[in-house]
Amino acid sequence: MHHIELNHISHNYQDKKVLSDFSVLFGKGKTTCLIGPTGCGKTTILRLIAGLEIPSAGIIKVNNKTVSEGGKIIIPPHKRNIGFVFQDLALWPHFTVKDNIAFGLRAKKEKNISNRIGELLDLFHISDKINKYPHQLSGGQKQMVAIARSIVLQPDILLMDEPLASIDTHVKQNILEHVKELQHRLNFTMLYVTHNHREAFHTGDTIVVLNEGRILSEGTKDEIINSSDTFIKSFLET
Amino acid sequence: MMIFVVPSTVLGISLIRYYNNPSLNFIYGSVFIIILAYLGRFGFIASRIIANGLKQIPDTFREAASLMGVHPIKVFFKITVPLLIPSLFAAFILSFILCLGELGVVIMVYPPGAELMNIKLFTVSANAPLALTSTMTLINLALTGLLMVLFFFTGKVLLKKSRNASY
Repeated sequence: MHHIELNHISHNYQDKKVLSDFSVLFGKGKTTCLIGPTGCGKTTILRLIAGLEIPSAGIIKVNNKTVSEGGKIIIPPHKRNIGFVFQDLALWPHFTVKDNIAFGLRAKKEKNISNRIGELLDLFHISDKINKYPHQLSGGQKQMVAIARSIVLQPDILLMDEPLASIDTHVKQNILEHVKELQHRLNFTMLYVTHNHREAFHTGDTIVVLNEGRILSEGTKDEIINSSDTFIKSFLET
Repeated sequence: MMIFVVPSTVLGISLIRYYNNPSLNFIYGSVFIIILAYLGRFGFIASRIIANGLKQIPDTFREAASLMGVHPIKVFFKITVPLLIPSLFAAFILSFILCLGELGVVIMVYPPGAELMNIKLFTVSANAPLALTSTMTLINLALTGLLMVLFFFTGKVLLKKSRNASY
């Protein structure tokens, strides 16, 4: 079953065409990694799905419901039940870890806020940081808080835009294992953007290779590795 | 920005020409005209400082909140305003200092009974003995200095509070 559908999407940033007649399907409960060089449209795809950008043409469907269509937002971002981990993490610097995670819960008037935050922080082994500010955390801890903040509202879809760039491999693998555990428990669909193919092979059930707003190849790790496309071959060698 | 190249006397004359009519006398005859004069003269500097502060707040801060369903007004007051405090404070200090030294416009528009310190000083220096002018100048200087010290310590506290806002 397909959870997210992008049909014939076109999108421009001012005069620059980023996506043109782009179509792709993402399976429910699966992890799909989008890989490709900088500027190939990976982040744009996530932002379009989240509703942070409006496609100039085409249809985006989530759970078979049209969420954006030809220059219009049909379902606003906050009603799509999507968690987004931004590349810059976007942790509010004047809020403590607890307040960063609780902000969305309070807005939705959820109950058991403290328990839910405590549970997530326990999972990431950062319970002792609950009253710290983002600038008092290490890079890896900040990333865990950003992920916890996106997951605490129990989204159907988690979009991760290169959130683990610039941290060491050991911490990265540790975080990804926690995310996988959460995904197994909550059964959300995850789209993971990276330009690092090793990270993608480790994380994704399916890998989508992009270049200049087009899909070059889509498949499992082995299918991508065995691709005959010269661009993919050279990309994997980097 | 263009307002900065308009001489203060020209701005003063324009304010008089526009506001000096019976229907707007509640502005022209009150301290509001002085506030308007200051706004016209230095408002753009404050607005530029605040606009720069706004530009430095990443869009993703607002987007992260909007995805969580937080109302835009709440986002503004809980996210944007606290992060803007250093810029708001800087804009206030700079405008305050510039307003303290402004004479060209306010001397033309000030209403009766609302003589500002610098206008009084200007008048006294022309008509009163040097001793009185010197005393008033010293008082003016001391008051300004005192306010600057107060702002310095307030600024330190504010910056300490917003140190977490380093993004």
